[in-house]
Amino acid sequence: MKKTSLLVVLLVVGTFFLGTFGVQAAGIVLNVAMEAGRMADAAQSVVPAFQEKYPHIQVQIVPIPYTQYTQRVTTELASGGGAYDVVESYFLMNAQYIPSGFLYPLDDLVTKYDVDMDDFVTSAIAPGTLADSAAEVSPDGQSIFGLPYNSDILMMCYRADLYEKYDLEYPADWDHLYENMGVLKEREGIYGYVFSGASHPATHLLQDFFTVALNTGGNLPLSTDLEPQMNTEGNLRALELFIQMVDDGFASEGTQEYLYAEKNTMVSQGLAAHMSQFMLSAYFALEDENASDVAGKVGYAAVPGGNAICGGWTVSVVANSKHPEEAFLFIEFLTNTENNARLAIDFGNGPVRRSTILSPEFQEVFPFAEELVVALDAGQSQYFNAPTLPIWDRLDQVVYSNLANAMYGNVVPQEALETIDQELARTLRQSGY
Amino acid sequence: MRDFLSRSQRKLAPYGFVLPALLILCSVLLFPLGYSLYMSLFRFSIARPFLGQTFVGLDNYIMALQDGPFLRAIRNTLVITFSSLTIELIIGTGIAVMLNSKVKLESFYRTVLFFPVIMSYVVVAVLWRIMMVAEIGLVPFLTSGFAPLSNKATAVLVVILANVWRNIPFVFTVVLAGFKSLPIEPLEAAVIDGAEGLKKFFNVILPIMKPIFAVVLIMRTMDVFMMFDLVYILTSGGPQGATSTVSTFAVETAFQYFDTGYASALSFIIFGIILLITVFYNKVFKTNVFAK
Repeated sequence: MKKTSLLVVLLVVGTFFLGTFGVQAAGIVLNVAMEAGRMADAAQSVVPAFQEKYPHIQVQIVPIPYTQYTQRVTTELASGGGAYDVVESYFLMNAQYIPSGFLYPLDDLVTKYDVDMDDFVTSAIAPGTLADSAAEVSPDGQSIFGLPYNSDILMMCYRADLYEKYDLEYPADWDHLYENMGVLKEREGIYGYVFSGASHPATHLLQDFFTVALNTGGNLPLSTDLEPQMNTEGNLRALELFIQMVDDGFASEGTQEYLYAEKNTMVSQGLAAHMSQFMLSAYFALEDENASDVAGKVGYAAVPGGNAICGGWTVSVVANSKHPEEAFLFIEFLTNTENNARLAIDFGNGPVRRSTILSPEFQEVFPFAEELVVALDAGQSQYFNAPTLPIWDRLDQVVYSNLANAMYGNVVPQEALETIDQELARTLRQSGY
Repeated sequence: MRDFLSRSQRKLAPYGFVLPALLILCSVLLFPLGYSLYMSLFRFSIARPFLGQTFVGLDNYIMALQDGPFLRAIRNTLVITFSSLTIELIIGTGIAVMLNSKVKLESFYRTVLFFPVIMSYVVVAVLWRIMMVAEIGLVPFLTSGFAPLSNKATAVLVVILANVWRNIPFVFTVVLAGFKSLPIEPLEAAVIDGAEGLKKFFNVILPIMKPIFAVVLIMRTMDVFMMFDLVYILTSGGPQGATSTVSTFAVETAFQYFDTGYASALSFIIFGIILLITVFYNKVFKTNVFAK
């Protein structure tokens, strides 16, 4: 009995000491929150090389499903629990995190480690710097809070084989594109266009809508002095175009339920002829011969008119990380030219550096590389006129729910745009703007 | 114990024994509840602490009761809850009766029929979405293009069916356990008095089983009210809010828009609705299930 008791005590004490000091003996441990799937897998793949270069630093990638990502990271940062040293985040999150002081300013570390910020394409750097406005809202007036990790820009994926078959020209504007949709609908019996028209936070309706609106004379939802400006002729023209696509059967009724990945499925199964989609992930989905019926048949180009909506994720160091410099070393390593190219080629991670996109290695795999760099530099976001506004999630909801109402016949388009402006003004007023 | 404690100590001792449990209960249940109630009186966001915390009194509650999408979510939740419960109770009781009637291979059927309930809501939602999504799902394929998730009425129906499919096993398991534990005497007396078949079932068995049904109803009502994953993944509340429920609405408010104060108020309104329904059940079944 005594021996057993002694053994149990030794086991407990031993476990305690190993748990407490064992990790320290192995060095510094960085916990990195990443959206589960492609981006987390890509980050995980660079960990062995990073740990080889910096043997005293261990990196643990914590994959979190997309549906829980914002919730878990935001509540963790707000509680100051210190669970993560590095998080990835996008525009909306950074517009809240930077003024809240949740993120560590990187200006000094960028200078110290001589990171070439000019090499990052314009739209990719925007979320981490709030489109150059971070200094206006950050607690200590610093301006860089994240390094670009994954760029996103909508480009057009279209059935190049059918264009060739029916001798169609790639359109310069959306009216011409609409004509091409009609031809393909009539002769091939497939939908002309697929978009995400769902009315909930996971929708891609805003990206799809503004990518059309910016090319039909439309504009972003707010002016630079925070005046709602949705009710314009250009936006009305774009909205009418979407309604016309649904009414004419050029777009499936299912558009009102499709999410991001289901757009890819519609094209990869040969059911739709065009879609605007975030480029690299679409390319990977459509050119996968095991999963796509249209591999080798799709063309990729800038959207008609050339103006497109960008997205993108940055990686940031958490303000209360105990090892901010080591965390910075990891995000710098993750986003350097060599890894940026490899993650794009191996995982379809959106490239963020000009040097990556224009490298022969990248161009050999992605034939649309030169158009991609132009699109990424010109890419806009619906937030660009008011990048530091921390309530964009609420404003987005106002815009997409009313646009969807009009697209599926609940209200006339003009009324929807008027309602959006009224509700945007009210939401801004309620939030003290 | 008597030998070691004075009289006053003996009086205090029970409180001392209860104290640790009480402290744990307060810290994990009552404190968060109280804090949440306190937060519901403020306009505040945990994601935007720099905007400050403004006392708004009952404004969040008043705003919720005037909030069209929230009222629609309440209506949707009631429709989904009572439709699901009705179907689950009818089918679940039917299966329980069947399995209770000395059917061959009873354990095999019980195992197979129990299968859906061991699947998480996430898996169930993904399966049903794959089957239903327009143009590329199995159902649209088999029905030449019918897209149930694109239509407001059928989208609600799909949510109800997925919920029913997932939870019938729970209902029939509890009801079957109730059947198996029925006292023999009243049943034998009923047979002697000439009650057979449906007459025996409705006049003897069902009244005895009332507390069991009350438990099933209360548990499933709370479960459906709190159901989030299934709706969020299957329809995300669409099309155009037709399947938005109080849970998806509250979670979106709390963790998508981070309106912490407003979300706290919503959660207390939801709590109030569930409490009302539970009291209603207790009145209807004239039994306090927690007391038995």
